[in-house]
Parts: sequence; structure tokens; C-alpha cells
Amino acid sequence: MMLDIDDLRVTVDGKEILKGLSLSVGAGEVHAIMGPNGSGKSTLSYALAGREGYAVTGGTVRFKGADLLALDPEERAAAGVFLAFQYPIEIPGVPNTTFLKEAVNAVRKQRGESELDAMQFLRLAREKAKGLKMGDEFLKRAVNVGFSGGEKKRNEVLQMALLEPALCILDETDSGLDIDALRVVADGVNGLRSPERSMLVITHYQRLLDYIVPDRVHVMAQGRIVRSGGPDLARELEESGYAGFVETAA
Amino acid sequence: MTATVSNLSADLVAERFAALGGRLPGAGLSWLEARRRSAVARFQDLGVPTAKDEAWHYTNLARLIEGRPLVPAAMEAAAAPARTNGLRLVFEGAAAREMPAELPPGVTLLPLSQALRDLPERVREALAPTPAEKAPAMTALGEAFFQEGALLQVAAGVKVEEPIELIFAGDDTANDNRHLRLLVVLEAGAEATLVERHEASAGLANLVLSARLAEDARLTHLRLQRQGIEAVHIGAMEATLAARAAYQGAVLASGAGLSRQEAVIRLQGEGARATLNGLILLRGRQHADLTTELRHEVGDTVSRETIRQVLDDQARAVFQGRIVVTPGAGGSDGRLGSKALLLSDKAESDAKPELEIFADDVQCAHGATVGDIDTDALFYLRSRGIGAETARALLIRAFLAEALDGLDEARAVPLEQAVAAWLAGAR
Repeated sequence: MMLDIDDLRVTVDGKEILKGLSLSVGAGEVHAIMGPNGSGKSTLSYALAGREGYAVTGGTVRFKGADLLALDPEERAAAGVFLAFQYPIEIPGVPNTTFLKEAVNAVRKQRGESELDAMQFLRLAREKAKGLKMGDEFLKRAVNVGFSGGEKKRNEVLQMALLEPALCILDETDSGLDIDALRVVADGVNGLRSPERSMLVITHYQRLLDYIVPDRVHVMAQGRIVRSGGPDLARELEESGYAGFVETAA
Repeated sequence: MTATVSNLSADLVAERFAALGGRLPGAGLSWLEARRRSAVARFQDLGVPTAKDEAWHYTNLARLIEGRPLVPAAMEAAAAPARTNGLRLVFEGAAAREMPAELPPGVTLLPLSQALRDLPERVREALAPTPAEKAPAMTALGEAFFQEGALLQVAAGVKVEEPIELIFAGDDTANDNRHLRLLVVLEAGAEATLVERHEASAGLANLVLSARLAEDARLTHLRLQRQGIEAVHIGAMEATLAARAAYQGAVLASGAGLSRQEAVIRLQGEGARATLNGLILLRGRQHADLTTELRHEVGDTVSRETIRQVLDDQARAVFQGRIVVTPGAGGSDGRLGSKALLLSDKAESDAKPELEIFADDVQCAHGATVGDIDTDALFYLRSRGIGAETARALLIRAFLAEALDGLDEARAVPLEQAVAAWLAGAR
């Protein structure tokens, strides 16, 4: 099993947001998590990535069999967990290339691989960026500073492509994207699908799932998974909305 | 009796000067003796600054260096400095240890004691624009007691590519104190880069620097103050710029338990431009004060000042920055910005930016902010595999980057190296 979450409870600012969430994702599988605003979707993604302030008060998370919650955020990244942010952070003064090279080499080092020199890195970064229709200027600019919504999301997918994670968590990757940008980002993500790589696609809308077709769909409400099914469940939700599920959970 | 801060009465200052005066460099030059005497009188009037002095409001010098000797106990005869390769003077304590064996044409670089022997009129000219009887207290003390110093002069039209270094080294003890007088003269169209490295381990250093830039002269001036934690560093600097002269200065203060840099830059000719940047990096209980005044004394002049402070533990930084536009200096353009990054709850930054504008049609702006490290950015970097320490260092370096803007890459290298060393835990 790639990811095994059992009865996870997470508190933010003293308030319990995840209330016993369980979920298993097999290697190579793509799972979608859908749910209304406030159901705890982003909390789940941050808790898995190890963000400060997301206190785990119960349950376990095993990643490739090991205890994920015992690791620092950077160790989780090296182990192969990648969170594509809903709102990628702007970092003035840090060039994107510097950031990407630091990240790639930090992860390679922790994985026991040799670090890339400047030339090797640049060749790799340019090749991956080209696939996402990102020119060299994206590499030179400060991290996400002045990037449009679509450019920020492409930059997330670029990082994903460079870090080669085993588990990709995509938090509302479709938010703020027009249809063309969505297609470029979805193509990038689909290009990374492989039998060794699992994905957790978190979204409010079914739209993204037309492009990134999941193996399983889960509905989340009030901090738990309340229903699971195949890809058809997403379309069913699109018609009926979340109202019924919210009541079920309550 | 040791002349410490606490007992430094007017009489004691006079007594020390009477005992030492005849052995200080330039003794026997009547104009210099008169100058030193008027400086003694000035210091006797003012005394050691306390918090009552407006300019020392946040840095109560008298209290902070209580018990420290402030005036040299004796003046040892120093051996002649060794002649070495490279455009540099090396000082240990108050003595010059090394000087260049050879100098490029048009360049004078001498320990001040030697300049006073060989070229006294040039020293006199270089000193003339800054009257000792109007100096602030610590500058007056330095003018009265300076034991050594440097004269750097670049002849008209001469461009010196290689950086000229002044290195202040030495394993001083807390009781050592020294007063050094630095003189920089760039004649019309001359260009030079001056790098000061302050590395002495302890003791009290009181430096007074005057720089004069004639028409079209260009000076890049880096002061890297990385002294030992036992050290007290007090530096005063005054630069005057004639028409179209350009001064590009950067002060890095990461050393000394207590340091104060006071800079006054006078834009006196149309088209003159001054940039002054400050990088203040402190931890432990360090206290650093940067007090500056950019004076637009004629119109069509530009000043830019960018200060960045990174403060950890219980460190405290003070920035007092003033832009003055004098009457008739319309068309001046001055900007000053200070930002502090606090890495600890107990660190403190005091900023007092001020504008004093007595002319119309002026563009001036100032601002000061204080903030913590961006935890969102920190998490973002860590979530990409970058370790917490590296991530923090990346963010700090990005924060400091604006204070390096405008310096070309080669000139910024010593600053970058000092920042990297500080981030790695050194001074």
C-alpha cells in the first residue's frame, strides 16, 4: 500500500477538523477526494505534508509502510510525498532556479543520490519546463512572484516533475485556472502517472476529473470520508451536490 | 590613573593629552597641534555621549561602555611597517604593520604617521574641510588622540581597478583602545574601491573617516565590521561629493558587542549621487547602531539608502536615518528604507527615519518595517525537501538582497561572503 490513513484526527487552533478519517491508496492509483468547503480537504493535505499548526491528536498515517507522521516536512518530501499547493507561495528575492536546484539536490542527497551540478540541473529543468510550455524566463524570475494563477500551478507541476515523488497530493489544483491552463496542467499531471506513482486529487468540482480521471472517488464531509466509489460518483455529485452527504455525516 | 568612561573628567582628558600629545603622530606640526588642542576642548565640552544626547537616544554609550578605558594609556614607538605586495594597509591595534611595496601611478596609500612626516601639507588639506571644533564628541576624541590612520589619495583621472584594502586586525584585550584617522581624497574623475575589514578581537576602536570626492569621482566603499564579541567599534564617516561625483557605500555590521556607525554624506555638487546600504546581522546580546544623514546641499542630487537588519536572540539594532534637503536644493531626490527581520521574540529593532526638507519640488520618501520570518514560505521550501536551516538561510539571504542591489557582482563578493559566514554561525 502506498498510503494508509487510519482514523486520523487533526486539530487546528484547538478545533478538531479531521474526525477519524480513513483512506487507503494503492501504488499507481489515482484517488479523488471531493467535498464541500470546510469539510477538511486542505487540512488533510497539510497534515500529510507536515505543516506546523496541524496537530495530529489521533490515528496513524503509513506511507510505504513507514510512519509518515514521525517525519519533518523535508523528510516527507525526500521520502516521496509532494503537495501541490492550492495557493503557491511567492518568495521575493529567491530565483526560481535557485529554489528548484536546492530542492532537487536536497531530495537527491536525502535519497543517497549524487547532487546535480549547475549545468546538469539547468538541462533537466529546461527540458521539464518545456513540456509544461514554460520558457526560460520562469526559471529566472523569483519564485512565483508576479506569476499568473496558471503559471503558479504550472510551476507546481514543474516541481513535481523534477522531484519525482511517489505520492502527489494535488490540493485544488484547478482553482483559478481557465480551461486552457487547466488542460496544460492536467496534461502535465497525466504525464507523471505511472505504476509506481500514486495521486490524491483534492477538488471541489468535478471539472478537473474530466482531465485527470481517477480510479476511485471519495466524498469527504465534516472531517471524514463518508462515501467511496468509482469515477461515476464524481458525476453523480455534480448533479446532486453535497447536501445529502453533509446530512449523512451529521 | 586609567581614564575610563566613568571618571573621564575634563581635567583628566587634559592631563592625558599633556602626557601623550608630544608622542602622537605629527607632533611638532603646529597646525596639527592646534587642531588636536581644539578637539580636546571640544570633547571637554561635550563629554561621553549619554541617552540625553538626541543622536545617542537608543545607544547610551556612557552606560554601555562604563569602566572601559577610552584614552590610550601610552604611545609605544612602533616598528616600521613591512612592505608587502597588494594594495593594502594592515593595522594591528594602533600600529601600521604592513604597507604596499609598490603603488600604481597616481595612487598614494600611506599610514598617516608616515604621511604626516613625508606629505604634511596633503594631510592638512585633506583634514581642512572638517573642523575639529564642531565635531561630535567621539569624533572630537578621535581628532584629539588619533595614534595612526591612513591617507588614500587618487590623482585626477586615475582609475584604480584593484580594490584597496584597509585591514584592522589584532588580538587586543578589553583594555586596549585606539583612535584612528582615515583620509580619502579622490581628485576629479578618479575612481577607486575601498574595502575596510575590521577584525580585531576586542578593545575599543574609534575611527574617524573623511572622504572627499571631487567632480566626477567615483568611490565604492565597503566597511565590513566583523570584530570579536568583546570589541566596541565606533566609526564616524563624512563624505563630501562635488558635481557628478558618485559614492556607493555599504556597511556590514555583524561583529562587536557594541558598534555604532555614524555617516554623514554631503551632496554638494549638481548631479552628485550617493547610495548607502547597511546590512546589520546580530545575535546573542549584540547592539549595533547605524545613524546616518544624507544631506542634499544643492539641487539635482540623488540619494538612496537601503538598510536590512537580521536580529536573533536578544540582539538590538538601532537605525536613525535622516534625509536633509537644504534651502535652494530643489530637484533633490532622496529615498530611504529600512527593514528588520526578527528571528527571535527577544530581539529588538528601533528605527527612526526622518525627512527634513527646506526646499520645494523635492522627491523624498522614507519607510521602516519590522517583521518575522515568513512561516508560509519556510513551510513551502521545506515541503520541497529543503532542510529547515537551509530554507531559513535562503529566506534571510533573499531579505538582504535589496541591500546589495546596485553593487556590481564583483564588488559585492566580500559582502556575500560575510553574509554566508554569518549564516553559518560565524561573525
